[in-house]
Amino acid sequence: MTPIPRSDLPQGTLDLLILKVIALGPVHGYAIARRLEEVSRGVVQVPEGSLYPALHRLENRGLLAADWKETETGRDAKFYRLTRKGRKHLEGEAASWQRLIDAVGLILAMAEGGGG
Amino acid sequence: MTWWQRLWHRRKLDEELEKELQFHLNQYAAELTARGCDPQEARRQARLALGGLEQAKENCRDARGTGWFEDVAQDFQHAVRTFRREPRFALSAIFAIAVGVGATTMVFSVIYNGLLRPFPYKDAARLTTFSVHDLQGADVQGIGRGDRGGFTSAELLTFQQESRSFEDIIGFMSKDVSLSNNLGTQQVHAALVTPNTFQSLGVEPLLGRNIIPEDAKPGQPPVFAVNYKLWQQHFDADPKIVGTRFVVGGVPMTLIAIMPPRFQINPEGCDIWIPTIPNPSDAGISTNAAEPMHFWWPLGHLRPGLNPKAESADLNLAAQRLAKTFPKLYPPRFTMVTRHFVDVVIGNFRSMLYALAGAVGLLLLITCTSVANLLLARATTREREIAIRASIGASRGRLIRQLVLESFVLGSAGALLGCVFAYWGLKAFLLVLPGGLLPAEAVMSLNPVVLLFALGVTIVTASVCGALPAIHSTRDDLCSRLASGSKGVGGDVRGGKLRAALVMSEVALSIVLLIGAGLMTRTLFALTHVNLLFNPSHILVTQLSFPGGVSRTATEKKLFFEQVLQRVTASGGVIAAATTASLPPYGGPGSDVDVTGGSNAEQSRVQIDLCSAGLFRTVGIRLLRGRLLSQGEIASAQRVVVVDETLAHSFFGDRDAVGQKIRFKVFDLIPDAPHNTYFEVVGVVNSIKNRGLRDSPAPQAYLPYTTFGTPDGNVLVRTSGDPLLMAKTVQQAIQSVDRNVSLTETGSLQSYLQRFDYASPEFGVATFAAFAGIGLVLASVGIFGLLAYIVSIQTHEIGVRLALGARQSSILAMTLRKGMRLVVAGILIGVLGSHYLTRFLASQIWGVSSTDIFTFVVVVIVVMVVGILACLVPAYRAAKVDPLVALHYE
Repeated sequence: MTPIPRSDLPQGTLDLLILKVIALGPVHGYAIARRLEEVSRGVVQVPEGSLYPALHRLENRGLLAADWKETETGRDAKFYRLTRKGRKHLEGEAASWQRLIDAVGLILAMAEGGGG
Repeated sequence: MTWWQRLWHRRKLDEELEKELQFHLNQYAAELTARGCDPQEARRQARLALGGLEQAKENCRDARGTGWFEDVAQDFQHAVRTFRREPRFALSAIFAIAVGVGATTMVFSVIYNGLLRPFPYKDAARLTTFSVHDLQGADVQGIGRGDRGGFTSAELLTFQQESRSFEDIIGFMSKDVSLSNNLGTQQVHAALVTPNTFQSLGVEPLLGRNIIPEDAKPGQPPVFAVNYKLWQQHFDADPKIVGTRFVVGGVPMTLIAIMPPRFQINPEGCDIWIPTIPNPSDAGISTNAAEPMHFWWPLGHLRPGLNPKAESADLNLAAQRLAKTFPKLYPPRFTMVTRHFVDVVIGNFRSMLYALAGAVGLLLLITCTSVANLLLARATTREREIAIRASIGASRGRLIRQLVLESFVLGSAGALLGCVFAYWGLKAFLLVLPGGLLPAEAVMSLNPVVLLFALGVTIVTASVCGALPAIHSTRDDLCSRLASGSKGVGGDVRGGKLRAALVMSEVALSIVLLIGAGLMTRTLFALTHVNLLFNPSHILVTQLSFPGGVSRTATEKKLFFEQVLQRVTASGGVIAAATTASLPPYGGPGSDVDVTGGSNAEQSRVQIDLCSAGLFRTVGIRLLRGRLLSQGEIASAQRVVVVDETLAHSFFGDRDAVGQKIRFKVFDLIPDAPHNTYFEVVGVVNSIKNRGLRDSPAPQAYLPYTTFGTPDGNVLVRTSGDPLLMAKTVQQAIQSVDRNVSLTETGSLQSYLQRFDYASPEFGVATFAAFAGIGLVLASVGIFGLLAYIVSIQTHEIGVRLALGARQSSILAMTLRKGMRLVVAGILIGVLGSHYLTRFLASQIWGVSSTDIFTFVVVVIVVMVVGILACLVPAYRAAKVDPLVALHYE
């Protein structure tokens, strides 16, 4: 089984990804980690050690809110959800990320030897 | 959740965090187990993926942003624990800080409450008074013609109307009046105040209603306000007294207000205030030019943002016109000068307060140095602890922070104790503070501003004390320190140089303080040993005031004093008695004069005393030529005068003064004094001090007291025994002649000198000596501590020396030499510093040079002796080291 090549997350993108995952509905930390992994098809692996500090930081900034709720297996877990401020932040960040990707894509698509 | 909430709920947050991470681990492990992993292994992998449970928790806590605070709290607890283990060190450091902070806070409280914010009045910083300044000023003899700060009604009204630089001008005038209601009559000091006074000063009465300008309008019922103290003492603080009727100085008036304790206005103090409209036709000339009691003293709010030139230009304009209307009231060349009210009240004492601030600043430096020294000593013994902490990962910043925090813990404890010291110190300070030097309105207390200042001083002290040793002891690489197993073998005393420098500065600073105290002591000694040119002992002084403050005519005075003096002289134990207008060593008000047969040069000013024939014998003034005033001349108010040799010499030179004539120009201003009259000189007496203790005698003239009437007088009695034993006799004699005459003060002339001339320098000695003493104690503790420390770490080396045959005496000498080297260096720096610094004391010292050799030598000897004593104990201990014990010591 060939290992899937993994990419390091660029600075600041972890927050964006977390916000996006949570935007889909209230979810606990463990589920966030799993979902990120699944959705990115294993390319993006969140270092779990930095997931929780990031969650707490976002919560302290008021972008996330959290409630303790029971999971389907009957256990108490901390469920995060997006606040209004968080949603706005996500929209702004996603748009800016999109712009960046487009720009980088354009540059990479340049024909070599051309220009100059 | 806010930062504060996160900090407050950190326990709960920790629990939740634990729960959340556990949930994560469980889920992960369950998933791995479901995939067929061994449960044990699954948990291990889950933890591994998280990067360690504790590490993850720590990172999450960091995200809260409260971590640094928790670190500080931890350091704080650590600091308190270490101090509990070393109570002797902690207590001495706390005590030293408390002394420094306490003394500084106390002095700041006095300066803030007494000098910067003494008055409870509206915009008090702009309260300004003005006076007429004679530009021909002081003459050769140094007697200023003096500034005139009091004004007639007409003048006051003119200034009120025409001055644009003042927002408002109030006037007040002292007057002694009788105050009576159905319960009785008493004499009180009243202040007549212009009706705008209460509104201008913006002070609400404690009880009753405020006096408004309308209250003084003609046809309105007359009203007055009462001082808090009088209300407390004479009316038993009865609130029902407000609104009742009194007779004040013969006029029925209603009491409408009790003023709060700090309301005063009149710097000399008064019991009641009567709103009065100045009467422009009132000539307002006093009979006593030194205390022109019929003058209005002006006080006003200067408009903000004016420069002194603009102020005086405006006043000058009005004054120049007034000088044309009242030419006799103004000198030929003059200008108006303005002074802040607080300067008028505090005067020369301001420089004493500044000197005190300087002294307490030095004391604070000494305490800082000695605390730094203590911390440094402790830091050197803790080196290994610090090195170990550094080696297990504490950053240098963290270590410094911890050490600085320790000094802040000490500082806070010291500051608390310091406030207690300041509280009691302030009480002691007020006990030694002579009355009348600070405004009566001022309240010395530890108010919020003062406490804030104390806090600031503490923070500065703690940072200075803590940072220096902290930086020092975290400086080197830790390997070398961990490697050197013992503390400073081979005489390499770590921090020794720095500590030596600190001890040296302590010695130097205390030298400066001691020399300051020494110069003050010398000043006091010089003042108490001034040759007054007469003998002040065995003289009783009784000051009296005629009823209602009414000025007595010359005839009334004669009738009264003739009988009083007769009765007093007749009593046993009395050698001589006299009445006089002024009390030696003060010679009375000054006057410009014209003389016949002499030169009317620059020095045309003389001091005038109105006296009875017995004055010369009572005070002990000797006749040199001619004769003294005779009983008959005084009874018939002859135009004769006795002058002193200074006057005779300045005006008549070598010619005989007897038979010459003198005209006193000031009399032309006094209604019932003889105008344009020449007085014939009948005798010349020796000069005595007549301008206080410090200045040489000025020309003096003695005139019959019957020359004109005055509102008050003094009786001087020379007794054979204790003058105070005669007080009762004299009082009875006075009262038996006229029961309405009130005695304002009775005491020995020496007690007067004590109060007016010695009290202020005594105060300087007391405060400087206290500060210098504390400084010296701290410095000697510093010397002792350093030397004891050096000896303790060199015990091994000393042991070796002794074992190799060194004699005990040479060890003793060696250690002594080490200590005394510091002391001597400190002394040299201190003496050099004092040489430059004592000039700032110049205004407080008299009769001794600010670089007085005697003082310097005595102080140096004292410090040497104290230094030797401080070195002796550790040196002796060094000499007594047992070689065997010392060699086994390490």
